[in-house]
Amino acid sequence: MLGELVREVLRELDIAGISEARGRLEHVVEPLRIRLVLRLSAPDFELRGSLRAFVTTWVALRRDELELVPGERPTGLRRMAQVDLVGLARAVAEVLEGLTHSHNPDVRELAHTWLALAEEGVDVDVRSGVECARMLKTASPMLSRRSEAEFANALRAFRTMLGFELSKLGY
Amino acid sequence: MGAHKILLLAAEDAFEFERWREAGPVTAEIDPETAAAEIVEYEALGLPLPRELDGLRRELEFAPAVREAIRSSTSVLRRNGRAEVSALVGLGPQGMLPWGAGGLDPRLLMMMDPRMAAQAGMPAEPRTRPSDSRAKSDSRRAGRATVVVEPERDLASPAPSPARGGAVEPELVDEPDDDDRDDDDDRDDEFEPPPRQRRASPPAARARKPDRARARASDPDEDDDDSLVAIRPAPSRDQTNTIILAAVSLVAVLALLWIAFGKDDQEPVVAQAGATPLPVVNPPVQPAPQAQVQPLAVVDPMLSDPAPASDPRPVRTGGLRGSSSSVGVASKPAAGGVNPFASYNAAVADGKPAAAGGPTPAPAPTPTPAPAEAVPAPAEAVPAPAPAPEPLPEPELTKSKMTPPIREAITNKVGDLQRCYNDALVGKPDLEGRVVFTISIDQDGVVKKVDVSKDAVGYGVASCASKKIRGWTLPSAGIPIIFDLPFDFQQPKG
Repeated sequence: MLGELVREVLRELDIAGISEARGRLEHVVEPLRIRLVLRLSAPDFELRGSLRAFVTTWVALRRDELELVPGERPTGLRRMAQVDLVGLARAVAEVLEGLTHSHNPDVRELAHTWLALAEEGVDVDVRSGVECARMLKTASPMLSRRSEAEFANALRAFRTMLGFELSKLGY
Repeated sequence: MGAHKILLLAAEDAFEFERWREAGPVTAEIDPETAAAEIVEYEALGLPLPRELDGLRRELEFAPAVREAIRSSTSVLRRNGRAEVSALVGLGPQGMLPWGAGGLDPRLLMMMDPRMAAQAGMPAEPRTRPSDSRAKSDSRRAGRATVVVEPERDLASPAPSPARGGAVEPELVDEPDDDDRDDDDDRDDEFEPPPRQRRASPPAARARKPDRARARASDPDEDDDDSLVAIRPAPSRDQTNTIILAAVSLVAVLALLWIAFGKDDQEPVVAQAGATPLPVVNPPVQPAPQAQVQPLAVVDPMLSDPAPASDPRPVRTGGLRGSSSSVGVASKPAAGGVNPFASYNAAVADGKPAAAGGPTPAPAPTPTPAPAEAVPAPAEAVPAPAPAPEPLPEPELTKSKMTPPIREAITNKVGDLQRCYNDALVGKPDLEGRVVFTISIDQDGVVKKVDVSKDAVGYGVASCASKKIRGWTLPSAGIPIIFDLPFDFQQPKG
């Protein structure tokens, strides 16, 4: 049923290369459905409003990543789908090491915490990066003292830097 | 989970964040995706956003991609009429609650995959049996800690819980089962919407428990036992439908009679209004309208809101979406008490007719003109005891000129139309001519309707271009407007 809903939304949203495509779009629907299931089943997820509105918005927010525009650079999780994941993990570790020397103390702390989580977090039960990032606040005593807004700003800076550094490495 | 996976999660988080990067410092406690979806639902329904969501929207819309996503999903939901007011009203936040092994809302589990439901240990049939009213009241007592799946309810539009922030009055989501009276009211009141006064039984009867059995015996319509409600549909619905249908047909007959016999007398009424009280000119017709003044007042506004009376499912919002007049909305709380929705009436009445869109159930337009003619005479003849609510006229949109920002935005999007033309040129190289589109946009600038008022090109160019235009979102003019867009398709020179 969720797959049907995703398919319906894909048709309705007028996404170039997708909405007007013939066929059942299984190759697009199924990955989206799996990601959606993970998203919905995250422990802190709280649905407000109807499921249809959420799915519609969720897919619309990924339009850039779904649109098949030739020559465009892949964005979002499609970036991950197209790279060697072992290499990417190594690159992330490298970048995080670099960020532990950042001038921004919050970014330093976040990088340290991510690395600590990677070293010790064998039994960490998280399903998405967002969920994991939220967990950092409780994992670090310094970050847990921050207010929500301060933590959001720190996380924002950290994510931006991480994405930028990864893109410099070709990801 | 290995270090490798956790590092990949960091990358995933950073990549996912890119689409939110320009969306301002969204606080970490807010999930921007669910907030955006909630904003979309409010906007699709044409409801004003609660204050905190309004602020958040401004924050989110800093990112063009997010702004575009919100607009396009809003227009999709509007076009299809699939936004659900009940999801906003009845539920408030739907927590993903500790339920079974999966820790996931069973409704969503069932939507996702039956296998996952099985993994989570969820039984195939609804958890609460209709007769198990005790379990039901217990689960309600737990408030958001348990979600009861009821057989009649739609999966995507679950059980009602207190309205959030008084955004919309719960009465609008007309749930048919009147089962909000449990034996232990003192504990339930915290989690349930205020009891409605729809039934004739006095509120005092609720306090005196021993009297309830007697009251139930005396009132065949009393169905506050959960098990009864869940098993059989309320028998009074058919009666209500019959009464409404009878009233509607009676009004139609009266309107016809009035048109047939009453028109001749209309001019003398106007002419003599200042002179002497009018003698009864048409005795056979006059008494009937007097008797029907009350039904008129009830039926007329509700014609646009038939769903709550007839639809056994509480979640469909056809009632609200259909009732573009504030009369229909305002007339309900008269029976229900406080109406937190009252302040929204003006906005809904102003904005909605254009914004409703989609397959809105609109039975109103057909019968409306006849009562509009028929009502004034009885109202003059009888000093109306309750002022009959006049049906609000549909706001007549006249064509206006494009505003400069709209013109500029269209100029930027002309490529879309040009592509349609270029495609057609392949089949007919000498194709050219003028097409005039009549475009209706709503107050947000979302294109609602595109008509082709002149097509001198043919070859499907106009229809292709209309389809493209339908996907546009133009700068808002603040109000819904209609304008003509003439477009000359000419072959490239040289």
